[in-house]
Amino acid sequence: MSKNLTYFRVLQLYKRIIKLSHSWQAIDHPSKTYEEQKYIRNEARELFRKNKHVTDPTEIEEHIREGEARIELACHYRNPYPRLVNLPTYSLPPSHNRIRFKSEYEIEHISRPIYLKSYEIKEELSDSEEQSKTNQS
Amino acid sequence: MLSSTIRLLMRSASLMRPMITVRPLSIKPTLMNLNEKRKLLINEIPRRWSHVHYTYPMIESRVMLLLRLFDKIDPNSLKLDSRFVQDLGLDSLDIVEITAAVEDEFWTEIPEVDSDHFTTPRNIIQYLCDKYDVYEHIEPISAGKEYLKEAKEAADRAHH
Repeated sequence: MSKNLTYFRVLQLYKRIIKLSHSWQAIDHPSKTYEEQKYIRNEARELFRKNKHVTDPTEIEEHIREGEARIELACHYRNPYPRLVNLPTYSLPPSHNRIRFKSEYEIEHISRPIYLKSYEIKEELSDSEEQSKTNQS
Repeated sequence: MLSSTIRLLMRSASLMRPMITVRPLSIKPTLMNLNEKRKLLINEIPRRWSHVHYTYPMIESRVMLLLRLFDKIDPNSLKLDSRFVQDLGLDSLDIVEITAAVEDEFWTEIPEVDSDHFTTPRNIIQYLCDKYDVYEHIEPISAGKEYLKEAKEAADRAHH
């Protein structure tokens, strides 16, 4: 692994998150301080390892931005869990038979918030489709 | 009723007056909740001007304890010279976590440029010894044998 500047920046970010987990105090639920500290540490471990193989410099920059965004959101709202979003607000619920243009995928990628970049998009089935699948199996 | 409370406040204010000349940290000990595991009195936190006498056995035992407490290391297979990446199967990110724990333990800062070169526990201990000027474990190369013996006896006399 070449020891360039981005390498050290990523390590610095990781260290910041670990230090944050040591001194984290949960304000809303004081009894869950230890749980949230553990959550922060495990999230950092998993996500950093998941994205280890990324080599594109712009992608790495985006991931660093994601880490910093999550730190700032966690410190500001005193809540380490990310706010999950499902869809861009203007779009229709997904139907799998629908043909989508490439621009629609691009817009969907852009409109996802940066702090959810490492999380995979799981397409949720609508209720009727789910019921039919469970009936079949 | 009101006047009695005002009189009470004024009396307590007069009691507070001599305290202002004293250094603020030593008014009364307050509990600082760092986290559930480490509740310290403010007076117990080592300050810049408190002299802690660092010795090699103390640094070594503290660092080895930290490493044994790390959940990704098997404490039975840990030795002074066991390499993090090859023998213990750790990552560069794990080394960063270990240096963060060492920083917290020794109340110091270790830049990433230095922590990148940590390959064995011995490196960490040597780095801290260099930082705190601890050299009792190093045998001087240039000294003659007689001087070595005398110096050792003098050091033993000083410690015991």
